[in-house]
Amino acid sequence: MAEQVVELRADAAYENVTRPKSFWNSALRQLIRNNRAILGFAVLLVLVLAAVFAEQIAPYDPIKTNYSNVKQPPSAEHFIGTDELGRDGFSRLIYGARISLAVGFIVSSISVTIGVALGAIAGYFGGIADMAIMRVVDLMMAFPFLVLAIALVAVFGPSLFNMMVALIVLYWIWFARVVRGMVLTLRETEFIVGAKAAGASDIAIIFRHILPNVFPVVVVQGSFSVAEAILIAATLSYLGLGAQPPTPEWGSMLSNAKELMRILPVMSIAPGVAIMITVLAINFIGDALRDALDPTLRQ
Amino acid sequence: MKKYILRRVILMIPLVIGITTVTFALIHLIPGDPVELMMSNTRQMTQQEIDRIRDKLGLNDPLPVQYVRYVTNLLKGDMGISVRSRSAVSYEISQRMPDTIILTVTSIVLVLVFALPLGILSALKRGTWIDTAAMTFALFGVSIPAFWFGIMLMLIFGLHLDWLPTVGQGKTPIEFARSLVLPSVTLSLILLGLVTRMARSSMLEVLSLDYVRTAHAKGMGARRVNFRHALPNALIPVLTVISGQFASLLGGAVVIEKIFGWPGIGRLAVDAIFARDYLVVTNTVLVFSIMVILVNLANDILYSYIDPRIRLQ
Repeated sequence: MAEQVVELRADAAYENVTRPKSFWNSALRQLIRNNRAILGFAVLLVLVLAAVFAEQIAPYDPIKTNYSNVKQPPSAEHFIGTDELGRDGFSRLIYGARISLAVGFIVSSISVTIGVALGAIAGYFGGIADMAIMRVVDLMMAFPFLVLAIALVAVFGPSLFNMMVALIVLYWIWFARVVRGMVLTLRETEFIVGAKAAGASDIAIIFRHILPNVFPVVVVQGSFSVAEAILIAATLSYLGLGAQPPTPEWGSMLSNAKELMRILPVMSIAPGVAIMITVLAINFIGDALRDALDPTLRQ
Repeated sequence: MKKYILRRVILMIPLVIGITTVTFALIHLIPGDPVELMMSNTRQMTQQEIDRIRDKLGLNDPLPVQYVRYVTNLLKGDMGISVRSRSAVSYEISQRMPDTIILTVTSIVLVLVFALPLGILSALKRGTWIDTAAMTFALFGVSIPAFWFGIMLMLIFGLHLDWLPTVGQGKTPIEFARSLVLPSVTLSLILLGLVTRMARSSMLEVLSLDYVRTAHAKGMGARRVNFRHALPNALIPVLTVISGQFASLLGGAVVIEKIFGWPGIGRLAVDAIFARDYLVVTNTVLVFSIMVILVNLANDILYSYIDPRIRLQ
């Protein structure tokens, strides 16, 4: 009886004093305290809302031409003027958020899925699978990324869809490399060896024990890759290899605006600022996630 | 040392085989008949003529045979004929090579001149406003689309202030230098942010090492410790990062050459895409990849001179 009481007290003391905060809980706490992260999330939220409610927000149809109203300077009706086909620049800018965000998130999430799956397989099972996957990875690393992306789009034909496919073909490699390296070390740790000895199946070990440990790093890398994919997609669209006219996309808007640079410089400025703000916001979030999720950086 | 270099060169062989396999595959992935693509500008041909040309070019041979022929031709310097200019692709590329090299080397010099001092200064003044300013600058450096930065420079220094030419390449040495300014500054942006951050963290790491503390402890002046003892060791990883980023520099050059009408390989390749001049595109990929491999090889060899520990591994 007395013994039990002592035990209960010990339990209570444990609950109160050393109750471990969960990893995600304290990560979230640190994220909320980070001003840059809050700013990044706020800006991203505004952009996402603009993308989702583009129909409601944009004052004009982004692809409707109006030849009686071309190359207008900025005014109360047209905040950043109209382009060479009389389309409202501001409306195109808002719809552009849709393309850029969609491309960034779709390319990243598919690449992350493929990269994590192949990286985990290569790292966990080793052998021929590892050999085959890593040879492909090494090979792709030897190519200048943007140049190979351009060549792939050139071969398959310039379009938004083909550009996204080309980016995914090249992007998964980064995640596969990172994840494989982590899995290689994890595989030798005691808790994995223990799980194996207890009779857990490979699938169970990968999903229950390995992936949760890889997840924080993937989240951080993934958020940076969204920002980078947006930059590269805009670059390829600028070259005419991504979004095709009349799609309102920031990169292709900049390419159109080049003709109007002398009379309407604002058309060359606004889409670039939009790209920069989007990428900065996501990089802020990425930096904050890294600080919050990397245990070695935590105070 | 010789043994080390030899081993590194031998390690390149499978990579080069891999790269040529990819470019070979790219050529074969191009939709449409290669003969028609090659003759795209001429009159319609009969099926018989097409078959004869296919046979003559060996397009009916099995793929491995075609691959071996492709590589043998490459070794002879034969990259095929450009459908647009009707001249050899290898000639076109070699003509444009110096311009691309001048552009990339100038940008690397700019990165070294601006990013290195900035990163080191921000490490030495850690936590001060200088550090914050430098890191904010670096963050913008990685978040601004390089091509848009180029457009902005064009707008400000070309059109608005009219200080520098915005498009093309000057003929006289002075004009040439003037026309190089905007493209090379734009291209340097690609590495500016990254290298500033890298220089800072590398310097901070070295400053925290025991030998630096020892140097301080024995009463050596701060300037001497920082610049004579810490700096050389901090620089090595930064230089490796720069050579590792050579590939992204070449990728950036493609876009920036196009924007500024700089007559390098990158612009050649982009123009070739829209002319459906595929051999120029695939060979650009090949040439750029080989350049990347050679730069990395040079870096590794240089590195092993500076840091003898590498050779023993």
